[in-house]
Amino acid sequence: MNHTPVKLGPLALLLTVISICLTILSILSYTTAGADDRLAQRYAQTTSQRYELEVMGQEALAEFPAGFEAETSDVILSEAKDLSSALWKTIQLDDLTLVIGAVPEGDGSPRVVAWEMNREWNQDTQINNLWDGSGN
Amino acid sequence: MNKRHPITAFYIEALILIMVFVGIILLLTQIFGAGRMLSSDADRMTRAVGLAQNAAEAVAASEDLSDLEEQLDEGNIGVSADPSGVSAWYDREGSPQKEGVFRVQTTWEPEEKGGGTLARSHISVWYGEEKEPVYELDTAVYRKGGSE
Repeated sequence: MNHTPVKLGPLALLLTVISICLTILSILSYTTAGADDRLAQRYAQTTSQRYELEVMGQEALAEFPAGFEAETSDVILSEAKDLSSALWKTIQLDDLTLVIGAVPEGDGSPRVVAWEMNREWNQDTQINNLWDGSGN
Repeated sequence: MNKRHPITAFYIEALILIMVFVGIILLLTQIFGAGRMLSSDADRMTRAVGLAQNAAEAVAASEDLSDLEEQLDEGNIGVSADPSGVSAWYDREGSPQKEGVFRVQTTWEPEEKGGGTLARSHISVWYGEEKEPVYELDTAVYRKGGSE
């Protein structure tokens, strides 16, 4: 009886290709999930920081006008009209800055005219290994 | 006897091949599983932070505890309130749902200060039956005059 020999070569090749594809997919899946997780942690951290600054701002308002100054050197983006009579306070927390502008009312209580939260941001202008156009 | 050797070799080779493949599949299943866990954690954290932020904004817009209760009862589904704060429930998507998987507990601690009231609030977001909150946030709001 003449048996046709069964060879495992093609099957081994097929399983190897399947394994490589699945490995690449699993690595991509895991790294994407890891990036999602880091982003979520960063979001949580930024939110906590923002509200920590919010608490500090509200505490400053409760102690108004103590700690407030007549002028501010911080950039004010607010479009409020009556900023001339406002008193200012800048609170810094890490790279976050809160600028509060408040006008004292008749009973001495503050009327908030500016409440600006800014984050220091430096543009990343360094482009590595990019051809600068020079001939060399 | 000579004819049996190639057959035995074939079986051994096939067995080794299948075992290696099953091993790779098991390893990859673990990697996929770990990725799914990470992704699910990230999703839960993102939703918890969003819910905590919503509650913090409700605190900022509230005059007193009953006002906070009204603000947090978005879907008119009923929230649980006691003198220390309000608890509200949300589903997996973050929509209000009675007995949902997310529970947002918002405290209200008023304190007379500077001729007004400084209300401090601690917000905890719990998921399911977990013993530790997923996310916690502190906020405060200052109101002129004497709200409670």
